[in-house]
Amino acid sequence: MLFNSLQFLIFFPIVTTLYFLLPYKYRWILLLAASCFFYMAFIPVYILILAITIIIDYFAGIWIEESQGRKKKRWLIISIVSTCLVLFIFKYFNFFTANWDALATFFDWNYSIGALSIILPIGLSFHTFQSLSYVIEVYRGNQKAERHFGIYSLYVMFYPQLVAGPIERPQNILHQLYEKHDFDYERVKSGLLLMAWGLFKKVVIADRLAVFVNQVYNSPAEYHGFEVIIATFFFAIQIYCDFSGYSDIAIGSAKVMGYDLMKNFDRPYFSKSVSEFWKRWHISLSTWFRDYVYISMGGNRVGKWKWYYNLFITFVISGLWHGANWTFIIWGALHGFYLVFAIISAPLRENLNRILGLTRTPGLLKVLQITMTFLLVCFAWIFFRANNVSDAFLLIENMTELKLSQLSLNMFGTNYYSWIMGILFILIMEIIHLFQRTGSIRDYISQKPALIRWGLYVVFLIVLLNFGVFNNEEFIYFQF
Amino acid sequence: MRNLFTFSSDMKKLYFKVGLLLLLVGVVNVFLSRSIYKKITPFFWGNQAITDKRNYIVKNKDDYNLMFFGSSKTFHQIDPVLFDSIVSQDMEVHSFNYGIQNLLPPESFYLYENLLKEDSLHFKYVLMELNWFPNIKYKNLHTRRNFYWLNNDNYVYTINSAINSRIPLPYKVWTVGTRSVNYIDKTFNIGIVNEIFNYHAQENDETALTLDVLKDNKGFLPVNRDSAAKGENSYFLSERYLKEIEEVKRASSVSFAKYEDVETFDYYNEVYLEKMNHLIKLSEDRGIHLIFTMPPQWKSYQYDELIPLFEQIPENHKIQFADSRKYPELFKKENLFDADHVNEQGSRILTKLIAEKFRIIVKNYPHSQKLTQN
Repeated sequence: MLFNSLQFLIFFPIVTTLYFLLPYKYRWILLLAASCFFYMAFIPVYILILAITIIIDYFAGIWIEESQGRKKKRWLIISIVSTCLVLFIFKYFNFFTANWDALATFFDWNYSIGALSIILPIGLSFHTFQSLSYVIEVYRGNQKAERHFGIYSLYVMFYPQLVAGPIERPQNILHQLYEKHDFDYERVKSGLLLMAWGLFKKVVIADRLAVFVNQVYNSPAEYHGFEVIIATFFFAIQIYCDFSGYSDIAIGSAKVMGYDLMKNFDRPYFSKSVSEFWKRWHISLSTWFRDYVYISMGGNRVGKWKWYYNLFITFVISGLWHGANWTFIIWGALHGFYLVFAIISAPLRENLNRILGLTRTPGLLKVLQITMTFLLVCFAWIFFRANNVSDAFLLIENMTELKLSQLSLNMFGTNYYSWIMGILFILIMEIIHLFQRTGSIRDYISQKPALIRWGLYVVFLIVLLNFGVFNNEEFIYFQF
Repeated sequence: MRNLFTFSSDMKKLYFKVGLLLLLVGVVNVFLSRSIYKKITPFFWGNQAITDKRNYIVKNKDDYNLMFFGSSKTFHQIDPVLFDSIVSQDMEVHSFNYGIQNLLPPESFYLYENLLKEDSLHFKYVLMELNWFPNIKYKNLHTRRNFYWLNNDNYVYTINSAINSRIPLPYKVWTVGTRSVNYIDKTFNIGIVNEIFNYHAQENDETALTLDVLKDNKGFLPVNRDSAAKGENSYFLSERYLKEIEEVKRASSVSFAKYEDVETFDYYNEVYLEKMNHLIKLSEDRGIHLIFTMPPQWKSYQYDELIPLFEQIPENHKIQFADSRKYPELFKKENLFDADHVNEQGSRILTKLIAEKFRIIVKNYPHSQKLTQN
């Protein structure tokens, strides 16, 4: 079920109302049933895959806790391998075979592996990682194994974050599933406002920009210079609004029922470095990789070159997590390269800033750093969005053919009203982002007199309804 | 089980406020709709083909005295040039094919009424395709094609008509549900600005229909030529085609059975009939002789719905060619493109059939006579 669909508009109030009407000891049953229904709205049979993962990791968690030494580690490995095997079969098998076949053809080997005719289950990477974080935390002793099968199932399946995160840690969410959450008017209101804001970003901005981004990225040979640059800029905004919009709806809907999910985005395009960007973009995933991959490899407590290697490999794996395509691997590798290069060049850049006098004008330096970070991130997005690697390089090549004549209202066809409107809403969003540096806009609005408050709500809803693009576009991160 | 199903005062407060907020939003939207959106969107903004044909016919209205009106079963199946050449033996006729893909009731009724009222079109004859309401695909639910025509009257008519029909319950529920969603879309102006942008961008683009279709073919385009232009020639070899041919055989036998039992139909959809009579009257007031045509149907429930309805229409207002007993050639593989449409060869057969039947009606009921005479 999509958050921006009619079904969810019906589903959410019914489930939430029933949730608060039921005695709290039965609520987990309702939430689990609702989560199953939510997931089965996509491809019903795929719930079996989820069930397999849940059963494996539920028992693995208990056996890990009850074991010691090598046996404990063995259970962990069995759990990780079997969970990752499901992910590999559904997500990476065809990628692997396609590359193997290409290699076989290249070396003239008479051997090929057939491809599987399967569809990637929605959000498989997300709930796989959530399951993995559970068994790893149990292994590390940070989390007790969950004995209640229903509650554990709900931990993996909790519908607000089931298909696209935030990827939760058991320490944050499991205990909440046992707590009693009363109906708290202010909390519910705050959750609903967050959901509305997420929906605004998705349907008013992301889905509007998607039309132009798809146009350029699906026909890369036809677009040049500023057209590619603007489409890439649009994609940067689109993916932010799409994914952070999804996260807002997820966090908001959980909040309405009394659950706190972790923050997933923190105005990432205002980051002064790529390293900071990753502390503010898809936080639940980047901290997952930090905690379970980067630190497990030794993190920065190793020699210099091993440190660079750890950093780079972590980002390559992160790229692969996003999709079984070389475009994602290159995207991850680019970010890994940015980070390693930033560490190596730090003294040089500091000297350069001093020589240019930028250290005396911190405001200007900050603007330059934010701009540079944004440009680097945008460049990497080309690989992320392109349909294949050759398209990405073609777009980069075409991008260099800059002509002022490309800057026309009709650069993406005659529907220029729509992208101009898109830019207007981007500006409004960024103004709100700037405003939120000093506090929550929801708290600010709450303190205003009723007439102003209600006026703002009405205007906001009118804009959302009238200016939204309601064609049930899937969220980009669903494919991962 | 204490507190089970009891709303706390805070919950009641929230529901009340949300309800009030939605009411306010609804009122503002109605105001916006009437004061802005209605004024900047013409009645024919459903899609580009509708706009193209409307613009062409308005510009050239004095060149035509007969109009075919309906879905792809009109657009791809009735050749005005051939029709005119046959009918010209008796009278001077210049027909235009205003068939548009998926232009089915009640959208077709809305468009027709507005062509008469808003554009003051005046033909001597209009041949309007009779069909059952389309089932909207979920992916198309929020597109403007499904709501641009949906004013209060049309919504009430659609719901009443569906409820009073004999279509299977799931279709009935789906029709009522989807049309209600469309009505909410329209009332709350959901996604309307985007649709207006798309419409205006479309206006600035090239037309969907080329001049040779509009002028030389008089609005007609055989389905195989349309399909070839879209690069769908391989369709003939596809499994879907073979499956649909099987479907045609089944449809032919359904048609056969239904027309065998035509005497047993003891009901008809009064709401639908009322609308048809209204259209006949409206046309008559403008000096137009309206004739409903009934092309072959493929589903049993469509026959159940349309045959009894058709029986209620006066003889001079109907032409039927859905009976596989009388018109077996329209159900033959060699004359079909797919389960829904005849091919170019089939369109010639079908056009001749209509032309001959039209000549009989004209002979028996000259235009100067009272049009609704039986």
